[in-house]
Amino acid sequence: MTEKNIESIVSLKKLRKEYGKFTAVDEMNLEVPPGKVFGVLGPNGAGKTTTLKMITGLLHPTSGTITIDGVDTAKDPTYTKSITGFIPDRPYVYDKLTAFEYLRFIGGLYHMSGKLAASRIRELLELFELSEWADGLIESFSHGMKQRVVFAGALLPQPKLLVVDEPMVGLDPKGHHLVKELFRTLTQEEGMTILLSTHTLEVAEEVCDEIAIVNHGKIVAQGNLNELRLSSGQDEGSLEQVFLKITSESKQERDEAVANRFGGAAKSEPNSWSGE
Amino acid sequence: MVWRLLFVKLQALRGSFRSGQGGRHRIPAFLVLSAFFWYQLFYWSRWLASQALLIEPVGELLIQKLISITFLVFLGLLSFSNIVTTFSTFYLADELEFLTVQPIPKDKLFTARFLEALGQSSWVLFVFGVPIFFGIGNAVHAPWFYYLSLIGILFPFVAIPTAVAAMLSLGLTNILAADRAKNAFVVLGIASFAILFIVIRAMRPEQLLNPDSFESVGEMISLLSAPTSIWLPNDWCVKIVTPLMWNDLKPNYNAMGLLFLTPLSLYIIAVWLHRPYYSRGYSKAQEGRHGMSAVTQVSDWMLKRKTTRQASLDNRLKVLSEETKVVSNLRQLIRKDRAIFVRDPSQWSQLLIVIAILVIYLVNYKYFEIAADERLFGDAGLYFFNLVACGFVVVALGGRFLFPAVSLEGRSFWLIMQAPVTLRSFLFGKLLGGILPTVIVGQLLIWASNLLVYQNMVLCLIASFIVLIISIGTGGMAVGIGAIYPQFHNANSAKIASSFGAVIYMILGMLVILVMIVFTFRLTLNLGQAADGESYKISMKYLFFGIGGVLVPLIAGYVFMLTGVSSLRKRF
Repeated sequence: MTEKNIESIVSLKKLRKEYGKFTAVDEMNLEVPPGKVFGVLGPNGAGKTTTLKMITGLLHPTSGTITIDGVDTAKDPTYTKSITGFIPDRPYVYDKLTAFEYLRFIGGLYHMSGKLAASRIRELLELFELSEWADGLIESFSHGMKQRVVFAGALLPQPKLLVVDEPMVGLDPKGHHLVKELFRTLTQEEGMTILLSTHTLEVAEEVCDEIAIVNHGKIVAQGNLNELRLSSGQDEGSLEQVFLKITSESKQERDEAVANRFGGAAKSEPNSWSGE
Repeated sequence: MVWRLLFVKLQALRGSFRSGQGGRHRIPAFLVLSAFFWYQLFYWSRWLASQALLIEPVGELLIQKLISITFLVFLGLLSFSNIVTTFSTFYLADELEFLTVQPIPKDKLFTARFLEALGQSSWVLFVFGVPIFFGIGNAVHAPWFYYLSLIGILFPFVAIPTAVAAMLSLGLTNILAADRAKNAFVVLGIASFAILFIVIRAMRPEQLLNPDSFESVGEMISLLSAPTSIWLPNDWCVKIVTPLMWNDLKPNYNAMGLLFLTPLSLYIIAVWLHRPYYSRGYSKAQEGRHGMSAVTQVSDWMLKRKTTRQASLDNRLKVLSEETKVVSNLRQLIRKDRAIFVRDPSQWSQLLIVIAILVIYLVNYKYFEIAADERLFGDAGLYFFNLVACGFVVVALGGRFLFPAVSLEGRSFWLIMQAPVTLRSFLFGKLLGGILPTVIVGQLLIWASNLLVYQNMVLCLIASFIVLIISIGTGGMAVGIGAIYPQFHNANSAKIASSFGAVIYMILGMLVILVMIVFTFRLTLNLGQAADGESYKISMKYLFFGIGGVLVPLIAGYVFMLTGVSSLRKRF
């Protein structure tokens, strides 16, 4: 495979996702630079998870294009999936497999050679402190341990792009620390790009090089923390303050935005969808 | 309160229709197929009843027996489906975690779950049993109150197995040592096996096929008028509806009392038993795999034996690193499914059902051969009857093993969707991984049954080939339709195998078999004649029909697999 010289590892053009009359993601445009931790923040129901799921191939867009590493996901999904890892917020994995079997299975799905798979499995089991549990059935693991297994599985094929939805859910403080360190190492030393969605603003502030704030299915602000401060009209303040300022809206503004997302039928079905 | 609890389920059901996740055509397709099947059942029941009426002097008794057998078969089906449904409804359903912490009085929670289990496990009787009874009624020109009373007796009839199953599940979850609740399915599987076997043998249907096998008319009348068992509710139902069918308005108070008071008493006893024991049973059902029942010990031992054979993680990694060939992702999917199947005790009960089907089939087939003899079927008739019946068994096995395959990915399906595996490979992996039991059982059945009646070798080989094609074709249909109607939220394979989609698969699978047998009928017959040394002539027309017949299940299987792929794609 030839190395591509590209400016953005992920490119979204006029991306749209509709669930019936409801527009979850509305003509979104986004460029994610390679080798960075890119955060996607937003209130509940803003469209973050839907966007991430479309990037990973879990959901099909209604319209628009997604390009990963210069390749259109609609044209060659097998390639784009082979260079993308995903960590969902809830670690649903095959309970009846052992951790070792699960990782070997993932290696097989990504066509990894036995030698490479073995060395990566050893490395990741040690990194996530799972070596002693390698032969235990995943069903007997705690939520945090399952989350670590999912992390190991996503990193096993050494993806160019790692998409992470709420990485800290279920992890203990040690796990938090491990993940933050890991994100830095992966981007700085291995050149991986991490696309991260989180509600934990301290984590975003600490690890993200660039942030996009999404509201009502659209990107409302983008940049590093300083640029976000400027766009919110503040000279200083934490990410939390900036976030609240950017996403604040009056009841009328909110009602109008919700009505627009439902195709203009104001407040007709405010709770009839479940995705973010 | 009970109404509220049920209403929220109805709202959820309406929501699932509205969500459109299963495609816009899901409901209309189901309605059209059901209407078609409904009409077929009505038409053929009416035909059978009209034929039976012509047999003097036992026509009316034969019709009574037909109604009794239909009730008995449904009682057997209800017994099994209730065991599966009550167990999930009372102990495994996701919403129980929410409901059990709410201030809901125990009796009301029990009643709501009871009614839900009753509805879920009994709809089949209302959809597919009613046309049979209506068809029979239509043939004998039954008055309007026959139809009305029929609807009236079905409700207490279906409530009996639900109440029994609720108490059985309660007993099992309380008696078994702290263990995974699903292990109980092994016990329930054995119970279902016993129930099915007793029910089918009690019917002795082979004797009805050949009235000449009775030594005298008196003996025949005596057998036909004898109740199946006065302790079974099917007998009570027959005693209530058959007099009405013949315009006899004198009610049978004894049967009515038994039919209406039994479910009421069972319900009251079940409520009374659930008060002290339900929360204990529910709690035990939630315990993880920390229990030490025999099943858990065996599965733990198997896992340990497998993992320690290669001594340590180091050794296993060494073995993996020495694998020079990259294993295809199709093979990985099959390996994964195999490991999961072996470790899930709830799946083992499925194997007991397979053994039950094999034994019941062969025992009954031998009876058919003796009873039917030359007069009704003849050798050729018996041969084709065997082919169709074997095909139906293969379809049923496909429904058990292959139809739930996609749904059983459950909440882990995201892994497949985001992995570099095409949905087509994924579905073919499911087919290849799960088709072997269906093929083996199909071949075992067809060879054993044909050899049992000393069928000639050429016909044995043709039958084996036809059953193989049926296994592959309907296997593809099972996986494909399973992907069109997936139930990712349902972890119980037995429940998935009795869902709406599974019924559609069963109907379509049976239709495909009938089409195939009709198309290949003449060619098979001619080849059989040739093997017997008789004169024969194979025309090009029959040859083309034969080839077409072989292609029908294969094309159906392939088309449904592709439809399954596109349906899964549209779903997300």
